[in-house]
Amino acid sequence: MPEAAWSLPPLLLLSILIALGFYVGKMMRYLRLPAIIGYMIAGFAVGPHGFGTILGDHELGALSFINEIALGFVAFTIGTELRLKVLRQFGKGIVFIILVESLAAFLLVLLAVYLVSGDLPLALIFAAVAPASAPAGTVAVIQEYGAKGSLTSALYAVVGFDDGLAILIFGFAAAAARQLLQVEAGGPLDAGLAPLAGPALEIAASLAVGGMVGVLFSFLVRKLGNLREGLILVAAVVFACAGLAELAHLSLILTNLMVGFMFANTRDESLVHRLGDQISGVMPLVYILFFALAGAHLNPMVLRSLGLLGGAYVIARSAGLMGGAYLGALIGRVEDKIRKYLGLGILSQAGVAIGLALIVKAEFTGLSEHAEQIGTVVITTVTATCVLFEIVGPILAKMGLARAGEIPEEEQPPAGR
Amino acid sequence: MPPGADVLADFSPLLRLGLLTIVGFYAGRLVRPLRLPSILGYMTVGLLAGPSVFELFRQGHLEDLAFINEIALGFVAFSVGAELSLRAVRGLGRGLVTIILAECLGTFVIVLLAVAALTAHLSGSADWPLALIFGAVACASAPAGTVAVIQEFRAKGSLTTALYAVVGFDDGLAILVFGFAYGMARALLPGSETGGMLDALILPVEEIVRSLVVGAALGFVFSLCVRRLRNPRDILILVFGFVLLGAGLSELWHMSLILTNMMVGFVLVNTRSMDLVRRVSGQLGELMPLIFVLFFAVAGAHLDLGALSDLGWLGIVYVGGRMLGKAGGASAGAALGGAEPKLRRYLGWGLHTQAGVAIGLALIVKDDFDTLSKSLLAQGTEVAAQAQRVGWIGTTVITTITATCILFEVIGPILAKMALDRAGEIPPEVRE
Repeated sequence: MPEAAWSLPPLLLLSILIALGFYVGKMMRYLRLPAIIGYMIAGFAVGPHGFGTILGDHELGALSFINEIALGFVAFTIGTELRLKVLRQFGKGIVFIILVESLAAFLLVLLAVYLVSGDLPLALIFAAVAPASAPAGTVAVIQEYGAKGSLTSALYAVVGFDDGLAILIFGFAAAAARQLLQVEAGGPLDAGLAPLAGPALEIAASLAVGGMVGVLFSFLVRKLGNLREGLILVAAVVFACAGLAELAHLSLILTNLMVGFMFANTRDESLVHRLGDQISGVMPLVYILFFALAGAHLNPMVLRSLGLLGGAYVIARSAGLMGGAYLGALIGRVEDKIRKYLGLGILSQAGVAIGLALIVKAEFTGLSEHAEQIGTVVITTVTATCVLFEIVGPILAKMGLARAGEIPEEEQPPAGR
Repeated sequence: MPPGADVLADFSPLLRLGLLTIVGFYAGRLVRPLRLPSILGYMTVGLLAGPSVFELFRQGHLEDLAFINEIALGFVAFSVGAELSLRAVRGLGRGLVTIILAECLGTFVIVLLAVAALTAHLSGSADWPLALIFGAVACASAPAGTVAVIQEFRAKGSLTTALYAVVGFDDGLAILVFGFAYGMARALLPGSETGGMLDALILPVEEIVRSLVVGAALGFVFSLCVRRLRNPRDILILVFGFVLLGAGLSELWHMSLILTNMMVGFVLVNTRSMDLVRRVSGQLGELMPLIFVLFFAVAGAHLDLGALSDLGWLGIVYVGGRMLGKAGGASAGAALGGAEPKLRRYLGWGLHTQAGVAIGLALIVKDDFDTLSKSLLAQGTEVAAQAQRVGWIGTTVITTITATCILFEVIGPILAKMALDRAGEIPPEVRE
């Protein structure tokens, strides 16, 4: 894997990423694209697979903590947007949307991959990874354009909570695939519902821990004389939860989401707004780093191995998510705006999916030759498809929000200076 | 090691950092009723969590967090530079120049003589190399502590501006003095190359000039870029980026981190409107509290309580001599330069903080002397005694400085706050 061409101090690297990302992001606005695409391009350009190669794999590894911090803040922000008052408006609609889009993605991908490959365990794994979506891209777009409205709130809810459902589906499907492979290799059949217990426990624990930390956090924030220090508290809590999530195998997203959720639902709106303003002051900086690093990880060479399998996955996932969201909104009798455009906003897929694929690869090594093949195929394909989803996802999200009329006029990029 | 410590071995760095931040933050609030600066609370928590007490953070963890130091110092230096508008500085006039010269040189001379006298008294003959090195290290002061106190108590006035100027620029002078004194010390010891004296002066001067030039260049580019920005979040991003750039370039090209970033802020404040500068500082001000918590907690974790036992006479003389030199020198310089009485009386109090910089210099000395010692040993037994002495100097310096830094890091901010208070530069609503 490529090494950096020059060895530069880490702070210098960060500053180059920030400066480059900032200006390329600005350029994107002229193309009416979200700035985060620019950040990704900048990161890609200086990354191991780009041109300058000032960021080698070693440096990327060292900077990986930024991912967790960024995701933690993103999840916290999502949580603060989920005020019960707002959610109640949607009623069961949101629940239906989440259920249907996740299941639809799962089923369509299962079908498509099976038809293309005839390999059931392989299809199960791809289907297991399909529902996972990345909140960072969508949230970044919402924040960049200052979007507001029912679609925005619905998007927050869906991208936030579908992490939980995705974990469940993944746990179930991956376990089922594992079963099939074991039997195929002549091994025993494990009993019943055990595979579901793990993920369900993870979700419950994440919600519980997040909830408790959230209550503590709300209490502490109220006692703060000076809200200027609110940022310190949020940062500390996000760090701590990120660390806890790693330690206790919890979902980073769900935990931080619950903290924000508890805070937003136990304190009055103005306090939540003020704290939110403070955080949103820092978020652009966090986003530049996060998406630039994500861009640096992108490897276009991998696109070559996309093939029929990858194509089937991309099409089936997109169809499943968009169609499923539409269907869920229909069943849940949600307003037209959401029904028409929500699906566009949930396509981002990134690190989460790659992480899951890596888990699969690790677990399938040594199981059987077939299993190892599956592990490798999945990781290479998912890595390639993520490149597509990471770029297309935010663009479509922006389109959806714009068409739903939820982007305030003055946020449209200026025609000239 | 306390039994609970093992459980924490699996905690990820993020978790530790998060816990450190929360606990540090509240410790900072606890010390406020005692009318002490919050940073003492942050340092205490860091100290307790660090390798010398509860070991929640081991050496390795601390090294991972080293980047926080550079980022924080970079921001501190930038803030210092941004306070030095020529208009404000001109008001203080020649006084500043004489103050900086007097406090730095005064400290150097007093510590030099004091250590020489002590060694003469203890062993019959003055150890000039040792004295020169201690004198050199004594000049270095740490801006972070003073700036943190100023910002926490929102001090304003001529003393505040003077403090900014002095702690900022004396880094440059300290580099020069160190270069010179260290060169002399090496010249007095066996095994040094000839022609060292001139080189000893040229290198530091080069470093200073480079820092100022690069910093100024960065400053101009920054001013240009930031002028077009309206959105405060964009401004923050750019500040962050440029400070990191300054820090990174300083490491790459061996420049003074403090001087470089100071120049960026200095150019900004002297070429752009006050309104823009206020917007930039405002953005920065939102981030600084968080950065200070992290910086001082980590600094506290670096403090080695065990080292206090190695303080000895040398340490005591060093502490006493340095405090006398800083306070006395500043006072004398203020009197000579015709600065107002407020400065004459209180400026010196704000200059006592000493931290990472001094330890860094001491480490340079130790490394260099260890190498020298080994090369002397290789030359044979006639110089064995010399080799030992050289090695001893290196070790003594680092152990003493490490111990004295604990004292200075605690006393420094307290005295600075007292000085600002008595000079009447802390707004009444902050004094609670």
